[in-house]
Amino acid sequence: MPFMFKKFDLLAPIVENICLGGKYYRIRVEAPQIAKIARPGQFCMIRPQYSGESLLRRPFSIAAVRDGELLEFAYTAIGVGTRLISQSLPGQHLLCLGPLGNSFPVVEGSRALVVGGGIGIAPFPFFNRVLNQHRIFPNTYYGARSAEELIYIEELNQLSHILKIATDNGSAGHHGFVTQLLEKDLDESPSDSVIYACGPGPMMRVVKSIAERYGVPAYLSMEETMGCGVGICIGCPIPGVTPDGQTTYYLCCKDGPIFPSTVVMI
Amino acid sequence: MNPDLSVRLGSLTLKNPIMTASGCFGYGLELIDLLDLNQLGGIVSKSLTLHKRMGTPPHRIFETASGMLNAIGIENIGVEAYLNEKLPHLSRYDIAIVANVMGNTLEEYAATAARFRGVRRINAIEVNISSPNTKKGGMHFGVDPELTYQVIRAVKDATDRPVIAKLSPNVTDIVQIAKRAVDGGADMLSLINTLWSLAIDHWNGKPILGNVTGGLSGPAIKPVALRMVHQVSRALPVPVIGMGGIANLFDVIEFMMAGASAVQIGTANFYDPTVSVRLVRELRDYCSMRKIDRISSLIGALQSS
Ligand SMILES: Cc1cc2nc3c(=O)[nH]c(=O)nc-3n(C[C@H](O)[C@H](O)[C@H](O)COP(=O)(O)OP(=O)(O)OC[C@H]3O[C@@H](n4cnc5c(N)ncnc54)[C@H](O)[C@@H]3O)c2cc1C
Ligand SMILES: Cc1cc2nc3c(=O)[nH]c(=O)nc-3n(C[C@H](O)[C@H](O)[C@H](O)COP(=O)(O)O)c2cc1C
Ligand code: FES
Repeated sequence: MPFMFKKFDLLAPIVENICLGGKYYRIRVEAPQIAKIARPGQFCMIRPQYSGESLLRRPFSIAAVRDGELLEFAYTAIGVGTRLISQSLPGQHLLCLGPLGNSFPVVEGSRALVVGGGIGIAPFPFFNRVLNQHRIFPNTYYGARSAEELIYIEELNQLSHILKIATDNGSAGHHGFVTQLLEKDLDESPSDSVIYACGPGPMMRVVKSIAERYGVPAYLSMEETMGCGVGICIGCPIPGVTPDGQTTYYLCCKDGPIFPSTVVMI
Repeated sequence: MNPDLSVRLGSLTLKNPIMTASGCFGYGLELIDLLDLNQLGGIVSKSLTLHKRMGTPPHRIFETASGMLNAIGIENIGVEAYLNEKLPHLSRYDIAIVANVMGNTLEEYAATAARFRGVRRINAIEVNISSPNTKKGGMHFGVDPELTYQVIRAVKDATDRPVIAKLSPNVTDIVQIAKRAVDGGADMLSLINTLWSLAIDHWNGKPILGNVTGGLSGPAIKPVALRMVHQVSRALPVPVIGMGGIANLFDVIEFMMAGASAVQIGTANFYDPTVSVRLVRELRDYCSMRKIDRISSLIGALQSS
């Protein structure tokens, strides 16, 4: 098999698991094999080693690689799986399968516009760092419900040409949708831009239509409930169109999670 | 001590009783950088239909207590693409390869099975008459003794490979269905497929699965599967392949004691992708430890009380 498809299934020791405020958490695990080959936008399937009746692992974007061997994930505790992860302690282990899926393409010589909504900001600390290594300093647009739900602000600020924030209740940055900030900047100069987005469904729909209106390429990190994360259950369909115009289902885990906005139907 | 792990299922011999279940291991090639396929007894393909099939809309997966619901809708690349694109790669491995077939009509079942005529690397045809996730075919055949008979007969006539009928647990009398499958020419029986089920999102009052209903699998269904394997293997002289919630060594032993000559691992692959190869190793260690020379001596070893 080509090196790029290599994946590892590790029992990864947890070194840190902290609440960032509200339902937002950050967890770091030792997984050097995965950390060494991971690319931004890829994800891992994770689960606490012992998790009772909850069997399936859950997909999480790799939020950062620290010291070359720690994997960091940022997550919100919403249901049974994420709650169990939030209760895991350092010294315990996570089952961690990865790195999985494709990654955000770095388009040299372009202006990168990075758009994150809610926990959809998760892949961008990692991606922005890699962009910086290519001497690309992105405009980062980050939308959240309120000021309390903003995470990674300092790091994103450092890794961006400019970081623009929007909140639903106006408690920080622009009062309104993050896509309004994106649209305003594209209005001023659309040329050579590439959009990278990850966030809730409604946000992704607006990003797709903005990209089409301004004629700029956009890469969307899509979400669908996953059973396996590796293409063996056929359980994570993303409705889309083939190059010859037929409707189809792509698999979020294997064909994605990142898709050009032109191929997905959302 | 080097225990003999091989099992015989009629004309089919497996080097060990661990197979991967249809729909739970992709086309067999997805995990080759994570595990050594050569360790397995065999693999069963995703259900294949005559033409490529698109499957049901999202969501297709939902986790429930000790199990999961799925409604994939038999999305698959079709039998032709399987033969051209997957089988040549799979053929490099020294394992049994079972093609699982499905159709909407008797004719489609037969035509799909017929495509494997003379295809040497296909060791058996498993007939899916038990999937609850399609409007036609699948479980519609497997819950009716007469249709079961007819579809197995049609496949048997169309193929030169051993035929395995894969049975549905969604019936009142599993033995009656199993009998008609054997009357129709089934050389083996595999059971069970998933239990027909429903999950509701109480926030919005809608079904969670895009197809409304789905099939329940995983450890939650193991006791049902064990009971059915036990009943059917006692009632009929054909080899039985057991599955339903197998996730560890003791599950395998229990299924064999209940009467299974081999087992298939389904849902466990999703959360523990190397489980099947590990089970082969553990089975070997278990036999050594318990001084069992031949694993086949466990088959049907359940004591009456
Ligand atoms: C490629 C990919 C990367 C992801 N990266 C991250 C990440 O970095 N951080 C993070 O917090 N989340 C991420 N998610 C979403 C995360 O996987 C889900 O939130 C998680 O699976 C929910 O599990 P649960 O057991 O807590 O919820 P469940 O008990 O399964 O469900 C509780 C509620 O969450 C909803 N839900 C279930 N699955 C998902 C899902 N996949 N997406 C959205 N809502 C869901 C359900 O509809 C339900 O309302 C990612 C998803 C994908 C597909
Ligand atoms: C996601 C999923 C897809 C499945 N697809 C098929 C299929 O295509 N054909 C088939 O005969 N059985 C299919 N099955 C049923 C399994 O092969 C198996 O019979 C069942 O899941 C019980 O075993 P388990 O509890 O170990 O998963 C599927 C099961 C799951 C969970
Ligand atoms: S999650 Fe299993 S195929 Fe994508």
